[in-house]
Amino acid sequence: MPKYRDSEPVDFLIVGSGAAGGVLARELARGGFTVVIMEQGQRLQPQDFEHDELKYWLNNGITNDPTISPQTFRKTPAGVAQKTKPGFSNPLWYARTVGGSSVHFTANFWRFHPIDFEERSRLGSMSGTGFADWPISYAELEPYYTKVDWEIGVSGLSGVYPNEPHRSKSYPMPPMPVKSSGVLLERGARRLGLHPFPAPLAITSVPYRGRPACVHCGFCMGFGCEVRAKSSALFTVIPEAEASGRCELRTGSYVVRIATNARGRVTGVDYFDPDRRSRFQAARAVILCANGAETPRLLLMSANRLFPHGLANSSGMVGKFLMFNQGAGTYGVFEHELNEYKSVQATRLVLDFYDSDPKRGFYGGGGIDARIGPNPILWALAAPAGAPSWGKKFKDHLRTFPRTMLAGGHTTSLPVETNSVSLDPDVKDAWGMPVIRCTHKDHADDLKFAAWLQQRAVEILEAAGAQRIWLEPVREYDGSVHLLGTCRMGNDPQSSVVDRYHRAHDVPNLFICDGSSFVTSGRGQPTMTIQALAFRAAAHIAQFARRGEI
Amino acid sequence: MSDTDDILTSRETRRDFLFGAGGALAATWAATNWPAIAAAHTHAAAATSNGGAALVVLSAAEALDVEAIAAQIVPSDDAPGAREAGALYFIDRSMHTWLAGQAESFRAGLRDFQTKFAATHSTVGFASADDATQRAFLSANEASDFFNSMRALTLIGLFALPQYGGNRDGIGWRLIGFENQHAFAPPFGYYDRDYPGFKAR
Repeated sequence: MPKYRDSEPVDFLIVGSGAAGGVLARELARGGFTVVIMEQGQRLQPQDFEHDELKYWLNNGITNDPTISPQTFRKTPAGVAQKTKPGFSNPLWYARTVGGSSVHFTANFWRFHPIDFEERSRLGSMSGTGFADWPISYAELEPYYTKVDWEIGVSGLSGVYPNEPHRSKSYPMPPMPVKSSGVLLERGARRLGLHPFPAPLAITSVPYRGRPACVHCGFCMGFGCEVRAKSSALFTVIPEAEASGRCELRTGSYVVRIATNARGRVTGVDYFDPDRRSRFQAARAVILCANGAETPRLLLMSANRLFPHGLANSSGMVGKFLMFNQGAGTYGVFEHELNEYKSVQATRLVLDFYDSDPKRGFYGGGGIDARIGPNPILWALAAPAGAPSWGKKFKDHLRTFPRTMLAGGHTTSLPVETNSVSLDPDVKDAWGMPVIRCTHKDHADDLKFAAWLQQRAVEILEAAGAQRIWLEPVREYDGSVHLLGTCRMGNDPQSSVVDRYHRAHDVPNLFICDGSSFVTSGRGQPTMTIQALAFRAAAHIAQFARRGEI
Repeated sequence: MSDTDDILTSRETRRDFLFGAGGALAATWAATNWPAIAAAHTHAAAATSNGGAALVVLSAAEALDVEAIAAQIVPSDDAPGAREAGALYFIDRSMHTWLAGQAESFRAGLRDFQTKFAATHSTVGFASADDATQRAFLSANEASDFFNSMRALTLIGLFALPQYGGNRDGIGWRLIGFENQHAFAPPFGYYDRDYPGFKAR
């Protein structure tokens, strides 16, 4: 791995080594450019990943730690933002490690549908929202979705559901073996005339590109993969970027400001190295891939005389339109054991309710998948509402664990301007930098649709023969791991932060590509689209660089 | 969180001591909602040392009551419960490792619990009371922060890795039919045994 000097401008400095940063680093380094990736977290090896719920779920084992990097939360701008309390995790939760949240994600890899990119034109405006079309179409992104399938590694089966978007190529790996929950979802959904199909997952069903097949350990959601079967950036694009010989990955390196010159061009970044020394790395161009929470924060922290409201923020849109993906789960208990704790989260999926239908009286679309749900500790903590939560009857409930499945609802979140990431005026992190203040309250339609879709899940579980069904309450979200929309893409510099090529409207040598680029939320499972956007952005950015247009 | 009319917020506020509420809440969302997981539970300090049988934080008198409460939350019947799983030792160990910062408030909650019990049951402590008396008292106090923390800690102690002091001999895992194995192969359960293969319709 090369070691670049701070004073030596690299072609591209990438902030964040996750799903998007990893792709951009690999593509640009392979394209002949010099690249430095700045990553706040450390690098973990497969053997570091244990089946330890206490560590990963209750102790922020690899996620942003509120004791050194707190956040604050309020529902509306009128409210007083409260700092994350001791013993709780931050509202905007992400993996702070090489590979970012692709290390601990569940690996559901749905493509968006064409409607996601043009829904505003098809449905009209939505009251109280910044609902808008994307500046790109599904057709433009399709080749890059296919690239993700093959370069990152996605298993699935194409041509098997009626509203499946066009695909230029099939999946490179067959779908994962079906689980009992998948069989039951398929049975129930078909009895209702729906079209269940094998869930696409960024997990190896067969050995793929030097990685072994999944061993079905059951610890995907929230955990790192100890066999490298999960197609995280850590095991795919990051080592491939390094193999180019032109990419340096700097761990423990926390970027706190993007520097600009008198002409309004980016010159590099200020960052803290692992010893908390303040340093400056020079760069010809900077690409932000720090996620939908940290990317807008960094732009806001980079305000200066030329950019008084934050870098790339002449529109005032930096940090606005934060979207999470709503959704509620429905548990079904069956006669025989399913043993859902084995293997991947989801093996069957129903997308018949993907499109919004004005006849329902509210906006919304989504999907239902057949799931494990959480591992034992979290499952035990979530007793059904209204049922005994301790004692003999509760113990009997615990015993239903192997006979229980979850029908997961994954739904839309409308872009609401006040839902946002901003800088907290008072609270500082362990480095003395202002922390994220999250403001979020779900749009009423998002809650209505989540509840509507939950009833479809109840019907499916009933049709599948569930003996008992219990519902997770539909509720307003005060946090998420889907961090979307905060530097939205658009053609109009007055209402968006980046253009259709992810270049900041205001700064020619600054690019932004991660969940923050999203214009709408999709129906869930954003990483597939984040990576397709990153492959597309890399192709265009490389062209710009070669033509001297950066 | 400013909107006091929000049911969820009020639930959180009521039970935010330790992570009783956070854990339960997070679990519900985690269920489907990996997206929604975030706001909940968790604490920073990672546990380090091995669990042992000796108590470090709790006194013998405190331990008796903590164990008796845990044994009511997940009782022993034909299968072992929280007592046999060593939930007490998990809790004691938590109080000097990952929950060290909250040990004092936990003990204060326990003291309040004991004081309240003594006020109405003058002769014996909670741990010595009969089963019906214990259950009645817990039912009357099940909305308290202390009880919710006890419930969360008991369940975590039942299912966390045995290295943390509870889940002895995998008692918690056996109760719920969870096999602690690194790898599995299909078929995984009853319903996927004779699956004929996917056919689109």
